[in-house]
Amino acid sequence: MSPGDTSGRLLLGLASIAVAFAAADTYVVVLALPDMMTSVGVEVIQLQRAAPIVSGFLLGYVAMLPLIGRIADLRGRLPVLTAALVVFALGSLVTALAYDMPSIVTGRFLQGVGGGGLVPATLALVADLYPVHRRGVPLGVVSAVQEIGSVLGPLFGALVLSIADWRAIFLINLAVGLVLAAALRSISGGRAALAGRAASEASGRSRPPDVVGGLLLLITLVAGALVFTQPPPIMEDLTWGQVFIPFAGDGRWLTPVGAVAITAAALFLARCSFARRPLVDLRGWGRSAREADLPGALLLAVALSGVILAFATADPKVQVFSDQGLWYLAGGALAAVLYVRHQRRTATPLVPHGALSATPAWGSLVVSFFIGAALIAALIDIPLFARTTIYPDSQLQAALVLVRFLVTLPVGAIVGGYLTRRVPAGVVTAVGMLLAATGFLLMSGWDITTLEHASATVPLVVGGLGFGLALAPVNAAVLATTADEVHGLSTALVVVARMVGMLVGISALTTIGLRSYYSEQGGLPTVREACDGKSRCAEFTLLLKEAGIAQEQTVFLGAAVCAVIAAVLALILFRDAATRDLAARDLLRAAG
Amino acid sequence: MTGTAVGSRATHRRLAGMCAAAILALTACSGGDDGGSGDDGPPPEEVLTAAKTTLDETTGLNIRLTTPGLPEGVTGVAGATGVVTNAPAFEGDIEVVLAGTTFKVPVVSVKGKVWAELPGTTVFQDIDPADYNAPDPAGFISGETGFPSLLPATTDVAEGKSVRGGEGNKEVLTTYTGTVPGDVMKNVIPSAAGDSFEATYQIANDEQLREATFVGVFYPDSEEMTYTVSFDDYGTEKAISKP
Repeated sequence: MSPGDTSGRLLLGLASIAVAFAAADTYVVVLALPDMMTSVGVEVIQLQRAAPIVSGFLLGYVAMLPLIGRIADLRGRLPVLTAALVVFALGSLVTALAYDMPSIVTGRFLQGVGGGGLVPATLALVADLYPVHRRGVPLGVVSAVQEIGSVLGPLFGALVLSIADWRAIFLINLAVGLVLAAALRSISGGRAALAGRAASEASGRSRPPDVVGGLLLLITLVAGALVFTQPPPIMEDLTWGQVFIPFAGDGRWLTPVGAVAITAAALFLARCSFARRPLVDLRGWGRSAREADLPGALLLAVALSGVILAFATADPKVQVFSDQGLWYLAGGALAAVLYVRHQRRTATPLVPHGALSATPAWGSLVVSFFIGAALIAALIDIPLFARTTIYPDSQLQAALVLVRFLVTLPVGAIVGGYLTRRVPAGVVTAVGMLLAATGFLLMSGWDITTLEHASATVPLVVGGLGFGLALAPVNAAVLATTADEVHGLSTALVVVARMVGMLVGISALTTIGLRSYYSEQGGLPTVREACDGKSRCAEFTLLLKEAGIAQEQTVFLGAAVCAVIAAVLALILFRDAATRDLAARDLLRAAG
Repeated sequence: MTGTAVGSRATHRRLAGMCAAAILALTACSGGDDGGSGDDGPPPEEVLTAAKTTLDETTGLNIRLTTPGLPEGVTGVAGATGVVTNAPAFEGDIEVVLAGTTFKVPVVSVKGKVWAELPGTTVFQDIDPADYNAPDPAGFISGETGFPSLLPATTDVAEGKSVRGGEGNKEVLTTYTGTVPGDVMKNVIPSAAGDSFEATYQIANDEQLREATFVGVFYPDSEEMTYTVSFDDYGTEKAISKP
C-alpha cells in the first residue's frame, strides 16, 4: 500500500477525526458535569457520586484497549473502526437520553468502549499504509490530534453549553459517530484489500442485508427510546399509554414497551448469532474476542469497576467507604488477583512474560498511574472551581480557565523531549512533577476571589508545563528498557496506566477530599448563628460556597501529594534507564 | 452536525415525537379514542370542588413538585418530593436553586416549624422557608394556603380530553383547564408575581386530584415558568416528628 494512495490518506484522515472526537469526549463532560448531575438528581456537593460519569468512559476505554489491537489484526482495521464508531454512537445516544445515574454511566461506558477501539485500530491503519521508515509523521499526526482533542474537548463542550443544554453535546457525538462510520463504510467498498486477513468480511458487502435483523434492531431502538424518554403524548393516550403500565413495581423496564425492547434486543442478538448472513457478525466478533483474550479484558473491567463503585457509593459525611463499598472493593480485588493469575497461566498473554521485568519498565507504569491521578484532579476541579467561584453561569469562561493549564502542556512536552536527551529520565520526570505539585499547592490555597486576579494564571501555567515535561521521560524509560517488539504495547500500557490512575484518582481524591472536609469541619455553623437569627443571609451563602471550595482545595492538595509521589518514584525507579540515546522525536511520538 | 445545536430539550421532545410516530406507524393501528367524556358528567366547577373536598379529608399523601427549569438568576424552588400529612407536617426533599446551583435539601416540617439539613452541613436546623423564596411544605395540602385552595378559586373552568396518568400510568384521568388569580396563588407560593396563572388539572374518577400544572410568573421580575404538582397515595398515614 503506498502512502500516496488518496483513499488511504482519506481513510486515515477520517480515522484521525474520529480519534480526536473520542479524545475530546473524555473531557467534554468536565464543564457539563454540574448540569448533568442536576439532571439525574445528584447534588453538586456529592461530586463523588458523579465521578462515574467521567470514570465510566475511562473504564470502557481502558477495558477495550488490550482487546482491540489484537481484534484489529484478526478482523481488519476498517470493520473494527466502523464497529467502534457505531458503539460510540450508541453510547452517545444512551447518554443523551439518560434519565438516571445508571443509564448515564452505561452510556458513557459504551462511549468509552467505542472510543477505546479507535486509537489502536487507527495506529494499525498507519502501519498498513506506510512503510516503517515513513511512519513517524502519520503516527505523530495521530498522537497530535489526540492531544488536540483533549485540549479542545472542554472548549467544544463549553461552546455547545452556551447555546443548548448538555444533552446536545451527546447528540452531536451521535451524529458525528454515525457520519464517520458511514463515510468509512463507503470508502471501504473500493478498499477490500485493506480488510487484509478478514477477506470474508469484504466479500460479504455484496450480499443483501438481513431484513429480519434490521427490523428487530429498529424495534429495539424505537421501543428503547420510548422507555428512556416516556414521551407525554403517548403516555397520556388512553390506548397507547397502557404500554407504560408496569407489570409489577414501578420500574421503567418491567412494562409492555420495556418488554418489547428487551425481547427485540434478545431476538436481534440471537438473529445475529445464528442467521447465516447476519447484520452484525456476532459469531465472528465473538471468536475474535475470545482469541484476543476476552476473559482478561473482562477481569480488568471488573477489577476497575469495583474501585469506581466503591467510591461512588460512599457517603463522605459518614465514612470513606460504605459497607456496600467495601464489598465492591473486595470484588474488585478478587478480579485483580484472578487477572494476574490469568496473565501468568495463559499461553499468549496480553503482556508477554518478562517483557516489563526491568525496574524502569514497570516503574514507568507506576509513575504514570500517579501522574494520571494528579492530572484528572486538574482537569475536573479547575473548571469546577471556576464555576463555583466566579463563573457560576458561564461554562465558556470556566473552560478558558482550564485552557490556560492545557496550552502549556504541549510546550512542556517538547521541552521534556529535548531535556530527556541530556538529563536522566528520572530527573526530568521529577522536575516536571514537582512543578505540577507546586502548581497544585498554590491552587489549594485559592479562595473565592483568586480567579479574578491575573496571578491565578501562574499555578495553571506551571502545572501544565510540569505535566508536559513528564510525558516524554516516562515513555523514554519504558522504551529504553524493553525489547523492540513490545515497544508499541509498552507505550500503550503507559497510557493505560495513566488512565487507570485518572479513574482511581477522580473517585478517590473526591471522596477522600469530601470526607476530610466533613470530619475536620464538622459541618458549618447553624444558619441562625451565622445570620443573626435569620435563616438565610449573604454570609451563610458565602459559607456554603466556601464549603464547596474547601472540598476542591482538598482535591488539589491530594493531587499535589500524588504528583510528589510520582516525582519520588521516578527518581528511584528510573535510575537504571539509559534513556539519553533515544531520539527526541520518538519519545514525543509515543507520548500520545 | 450543526443541526443538533438547537435547545436539546426541544430536541429531546422532537426525538420522542419521532419515536412515537415510528411506533404508531410500525403497529399500523388507528390509535385510541381520547375525546372528552361527553356532556353527561357533573359541571367542571363541581368536579374541582369535589376534588378539594377529597384533599381536605385525606390524612396524607405523597406529593411531587417539578419544573422544567427556573428562569435564569432566580433563587427559588426547583422541586420537592415527600410525604405531606394533615397534622400538618411534611418530610422529604426540597430542591433549591441558589446562585445558579441546585441543592437537594432534606426538609422536615411539623406544625409551622421547618427544619432543613442545609448543603454542606450534617444536621437538621430550623429555618424560615420564606428566606429561600419557598413555602412551608407542610401547608401544601392545607385548605387555606395549599394547592387545594386553588381548585375552587379557578375561573373559566373547561373540561378537556381524557388522558392516562397517575401512578404507573394506570389511571384514566379527566383534564380541566382554567385560570387562577394571582392573589390566590400568592397564598400558596408566596413569591408568585403574575396577575393570573393558567391551570391544568388531571382528576381521577374517584374525585382525586392527580396532577396540577400551573403556568405563570412565579418569581418577581422573571419570565413565565411552569410548576407541575402530582398527588399520589391518598390516605397515607405517617407520624412525622421534629428531627
